Amino acid sequence: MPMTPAEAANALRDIDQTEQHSSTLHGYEKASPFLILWGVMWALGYSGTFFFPPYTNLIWLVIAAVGTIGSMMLGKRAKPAGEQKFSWKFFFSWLAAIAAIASVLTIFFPFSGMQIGSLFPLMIGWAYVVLGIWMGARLAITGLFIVVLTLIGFFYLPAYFMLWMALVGGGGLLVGGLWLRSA
Amino acid sequence: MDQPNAIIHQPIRLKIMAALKALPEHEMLEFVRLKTIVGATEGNLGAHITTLEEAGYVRVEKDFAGKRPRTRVMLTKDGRRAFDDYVADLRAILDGGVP
Repeated sequence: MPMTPAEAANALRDIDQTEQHSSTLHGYEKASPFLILWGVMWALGYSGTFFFPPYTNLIWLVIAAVGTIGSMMLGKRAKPAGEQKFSWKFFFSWLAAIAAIASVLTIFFPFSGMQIGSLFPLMIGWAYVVLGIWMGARLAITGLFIVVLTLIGFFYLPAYFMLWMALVGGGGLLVGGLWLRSA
Repeated sequence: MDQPNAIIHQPIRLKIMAALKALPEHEMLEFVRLKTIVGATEGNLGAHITTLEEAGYVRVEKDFAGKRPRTRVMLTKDGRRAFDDYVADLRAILDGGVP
């Protein structure tokens, strides 16, 4: 029996819905290891800053280096077999992002540790919100939680801000990454 | 032609093909995740994947991720082309043309 236009429309709708679902889950699968990695890095960085303030710069230098190398390794692993070569585009994108933040900071100098400690989570949180608008709600919700919890820590818990950020910033990313993986 | 590609047209196989088509070329989808997307039972999904594999539309790879056995599925070039043709046929029917 020939297919009717209504059946064809139904099939196209099924295809569209399935493609969207698959694409969202694929995005979550790719993003989750990065969130988990940076969740751990943030937890270590902020708690290190809270407990050993004189070593703050050194701690974050190490965190940035380990996180960058880890991200590059994850990026390489996320590619299909045979395409896992070093990505210069990824490397330079990362450098550009760091340079962008550094250049913005120069015009706001001097700033407090709490301000710089809030800036990264706020920018990254909003970046996840924007990405989530395109990729899937879970990523956007994770980003929004990080933004809200950062602001709560900044305005209401200044004495424990670094510890708060270790728990809710690092923990938030970690839980967000696991949540994406479970989708 | 009575209806577009009968192998792809079956509802579960249509969803399998659509789910795989949404991935970048050469990317594989884990069987478990495919089961979630398609909403089929394990046995049912396995049978339909075998049909698609025999048609040359998908490739199945079995390996281990650590100690965990893993089955992954990807669309072949023929599968990608067949699916594009199938979608074009659907659009032709919708536009009042003959597929």
